[in-house]
Amino acid sequence: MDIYQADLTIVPKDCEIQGIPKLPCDEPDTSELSMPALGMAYVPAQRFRELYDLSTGFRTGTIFKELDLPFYGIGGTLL
Amino acid sequence: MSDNKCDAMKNLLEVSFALDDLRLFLDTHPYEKEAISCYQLYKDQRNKVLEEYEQTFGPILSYNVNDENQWTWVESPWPWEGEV
Repeated sequence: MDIYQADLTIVPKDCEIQGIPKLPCDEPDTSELSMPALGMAYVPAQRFRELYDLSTGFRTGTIFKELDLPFYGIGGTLL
Repeated sequence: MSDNKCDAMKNLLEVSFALDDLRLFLDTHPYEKEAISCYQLYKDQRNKVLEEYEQTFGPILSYNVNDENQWTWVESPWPWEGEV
């Protein structure tokens, strides 16, 4: 495995560390997929409609039915 | 906490949350008349629910302690005392 040479000016002399491993993310990604063409984002404005009743809104975390969407992401990853 | 007290607090939290959510909507839609009147409606409802709660169970905030013979803030249990 490639490693970065340990910086011996900050590592104690009796430390056996050789360096830290190089990870794929350390290399700049120059593939075509990493540089897609610029785009423009469009988010439609929310409209005032379809309100939940107070109790449902409280349990759901929003009073707007349109915003009651499923979220599957857990712990920074998608299951 | 007694069932009555719990229900009264739940009503208050529910309408307060609706106001919080409406406020977020109105921040980005300040001219939406329907939302403004809905806010007003829930605001009145919250005032009513809050007043009823405080009359029955005592003040929720010390700012709302009324001018009475004694300091009513300390009459109800502290949060860490759990059950009424």
